[in-house]
Amino acid sequence: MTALPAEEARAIVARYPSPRSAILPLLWLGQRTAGHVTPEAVQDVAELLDLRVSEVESVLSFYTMFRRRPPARCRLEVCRSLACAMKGAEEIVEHVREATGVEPGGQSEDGQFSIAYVECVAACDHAPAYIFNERMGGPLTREAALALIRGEGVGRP
Amino acid sequence: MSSTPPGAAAPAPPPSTVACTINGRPHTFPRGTLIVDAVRQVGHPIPYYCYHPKLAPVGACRVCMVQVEGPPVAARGPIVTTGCTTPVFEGLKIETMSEPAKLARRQVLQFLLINHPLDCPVCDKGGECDLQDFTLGYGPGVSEFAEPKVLRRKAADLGPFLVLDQERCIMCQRCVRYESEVLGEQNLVLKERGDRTVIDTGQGEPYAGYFSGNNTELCPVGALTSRTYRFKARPWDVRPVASVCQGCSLGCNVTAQTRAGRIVRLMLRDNPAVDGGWLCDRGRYGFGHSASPDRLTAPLVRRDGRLVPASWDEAMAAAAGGLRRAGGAAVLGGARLTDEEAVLLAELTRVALRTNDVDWRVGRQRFAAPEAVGARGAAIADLDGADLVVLADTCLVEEAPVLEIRLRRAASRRTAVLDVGPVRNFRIGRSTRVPCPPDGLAAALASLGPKVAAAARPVVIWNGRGSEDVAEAVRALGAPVLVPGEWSNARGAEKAGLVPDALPGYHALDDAAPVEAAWGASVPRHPGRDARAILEAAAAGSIGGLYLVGANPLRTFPDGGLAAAALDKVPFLVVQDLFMTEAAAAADVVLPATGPLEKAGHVTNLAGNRQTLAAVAAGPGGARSDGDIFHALAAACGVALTGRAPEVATEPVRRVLTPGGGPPAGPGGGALRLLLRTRLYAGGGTTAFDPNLAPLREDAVLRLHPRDAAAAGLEDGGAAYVKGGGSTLTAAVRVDPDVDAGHAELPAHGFGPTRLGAWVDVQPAPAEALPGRAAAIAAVSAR
Ligand code: SF4
Ligand code: SF4
Ligand code: FES
Repeated sequence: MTALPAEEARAIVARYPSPRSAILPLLWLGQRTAGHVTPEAVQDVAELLDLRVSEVESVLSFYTMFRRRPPARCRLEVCRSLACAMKGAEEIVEHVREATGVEPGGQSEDGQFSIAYVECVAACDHAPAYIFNERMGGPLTREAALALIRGEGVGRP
Repeated sequence: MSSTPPGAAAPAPPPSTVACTINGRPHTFPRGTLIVDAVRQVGHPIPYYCYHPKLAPVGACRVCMVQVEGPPVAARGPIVTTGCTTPVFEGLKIETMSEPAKLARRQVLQFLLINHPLDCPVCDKGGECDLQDFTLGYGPGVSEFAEPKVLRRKAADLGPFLVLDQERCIMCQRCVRYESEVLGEQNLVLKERGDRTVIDTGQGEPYAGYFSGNNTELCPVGALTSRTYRFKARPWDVRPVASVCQGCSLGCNVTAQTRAGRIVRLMLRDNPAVDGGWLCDRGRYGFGHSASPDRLTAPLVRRDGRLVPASWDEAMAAAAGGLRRAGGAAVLGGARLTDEEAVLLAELTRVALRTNDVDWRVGRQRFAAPEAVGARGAAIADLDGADLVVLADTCLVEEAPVLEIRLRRAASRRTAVLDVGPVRNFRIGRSTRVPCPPDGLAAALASLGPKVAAAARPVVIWNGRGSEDVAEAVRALGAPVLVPGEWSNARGAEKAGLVPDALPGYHALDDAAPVEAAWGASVPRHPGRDARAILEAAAAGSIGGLYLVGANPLRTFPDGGLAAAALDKVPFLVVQDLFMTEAAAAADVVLPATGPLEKAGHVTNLAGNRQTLAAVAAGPGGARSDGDIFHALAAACGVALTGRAPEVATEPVRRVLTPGGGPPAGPGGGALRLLLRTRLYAGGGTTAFDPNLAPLREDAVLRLHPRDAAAAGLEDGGAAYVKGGGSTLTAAVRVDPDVDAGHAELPAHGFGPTRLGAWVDVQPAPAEALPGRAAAIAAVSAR
């Protein structure tokens, strides 16, 4: 095991009656450790839980909250489930795309920001809801979105 | 009527059948029958994708909609539900063609097609695609979906055999479920979610298992297809022929499809008693040798030191003359013939060449039928109900792969597996290892006596290697035995008497009357010599001629030094084969034969099932079937063969297993014990010459425990020199914790390992040092 802090990882595994249940917490640990989930971390999780790498990859890819590459400084994730879509989430993301040229799911070349769609974040009452650097917020507007990715909203969700 | 004993008033068991109606007509089915099966049985089939009789139902695709009414949903009136997850109930009214059912299916089909590329004209599945067929039969003519389609990977490379088109996938998950339910391997999984879900391997690596091809028959659409069949034919262009795979001794049933005389693919032909409806990749894709440009197409005769083409008459005259010179002839091989051909070879040997010096055992297997050593034979299906299976140093996934699928399934239920030997043989599924050194097998088996005795339905699987002490240990266990063969028709060869110590039909040598009656000729009575003794005599120059029939002792005989000396010293060598093997390169006469896909006859598999082989393809023009060659060779010796198989003895002669001639006990020196083990993709037969299997060939792969690798400074994927017995071999390194420390495993049929002796040393080698096949042949043919 090389990509996960061993002691912490084993403690997580010990929390569950069935080792398989530890997949998600271990992947979170991997993301906390390296900023994103590396292929090596996936292999470590598989080895630790005696699972196939393919099974861990399958779980990992299902959740949009896991990053597969080093994070941008400002990470804006916009919900597009039903309520947020109806409240204009896609128009906001489209606005950002036009203003910056960065596609949803993409990242600016200088690593300043990334923007992505996510599935329901359980904040429909704040639609269109978003997650900025792991903290939830909403309702999002075009102006707020641009401010966030410029870094003007860092630390102030 | 019997009265119920007092105090034991058991509730009456529910009747084992239920009555229901399908489209208004009454029918009865066994309880638990799924609606999808019931309606098909009575001629009202409904479409289905995710459902498959060999997989557990999941209800993922929703296309199998039927209307049902009655218990247990009586209160709700007629409802539409999935036929693949709903069993028939007493009194249920099932309608397959009601308007609500038809509408539901039409909508599901439309939904399944919204992101589908509709590239049927260039899709290999066209003409046998369930998506085409069901959409035509049950779907809408036109899609209402006007948005852009989601684009995904097309023609994605999944390794040597599979091509994946993610856009064509309908997410039925048959492949994913096959991988986990049937194989326990999960080589293919679902990734991402929603409309972006795709099928993929774990981290984009090539598919790594031995059973990938079954996915191409499970996939109902053109998503998972075979590379070898890509753009080769349409289903209405091909001629299907039923035959039997001869990739190993299991003999899985296949349907071979040819187009213009060439094999384009092999497909499974479900035989529950043998293959359970699966094929391994070696069997499914290993047909490429048939049309290989490297096939021998004309007889060759050595003139002035060189092998030159000759006519069949010239070659036969030369062979017959050479084999009858002073010192007499000996015959090795024959375990890849049909049963009929094996009898012909036995007759040729006994009547025309007048010798009992014949042995199919040019490897390590010592016998083929359990009855031949006084053990009881098991049926393949016995594995299903076994409570204990003993793997006696036998690795099914390498030696009879499809049998491994059966064992994995059994082990996932209630079968305990005891895995005996110096290497973990059973890697996927529950098992208990019983480690032992290669020469400790008899003792290890003996120690399992009480466990086997306590089991209700034990089965022993032993590949027949080792000698009388192991046979004695297996007999003492008292359980029925399955014997995976080193060659495809070892059992047919043994029964035909291609052994020095028994006549055809398991008659003792002094019980020759039935044999002589069948053939109308006398046969020699003195015991013949086995493969080791024959090779020793040849090496000593005391045999006049050696006839190798589909045999290459340079690769397969455990003592490679002896084999090389024998082929070097024997005055006259005839080799009958499909390709210019190392042995053929050393021959005086080379006879080109047709292969297992090119001849008709019968073959006997590892459990004694006699199956029919069909001539699927023609084979190269100049080649002849082994049987024709035996007739012609006998005629050149002045004998007409009858080909009659003598009746099998009522009391088969009990044979004693002489040691098979393992590697010479090493003169010390080496630190690691050499293990020569069967590997599926190593060998000098058709595997070595099959272009389809080329990417997986592993003739020179060294497997060893991480500890030994570290001690020697070897890394996984690197190269190593393996030294022993004055010989050096270069091999690719696989670090493998499943090989017990202290051992070095090399493929038994690779070129070179058998010359190393019993103990070897390993050390790092530069990557460029890995051997080429051409160099190996050149080294041998310079005689
Ligand atoms: S690849 Fe084929 S078998 Fe696998 S989920 Fe897709 S359609 Fe089904
Ligand atoms: S298990 Fe043996 S007989 Fe069956 S398909 Fe594979 S090689 Fe052929
Ligand atoms: S076949 Fe019934 S839901 Fe797929």
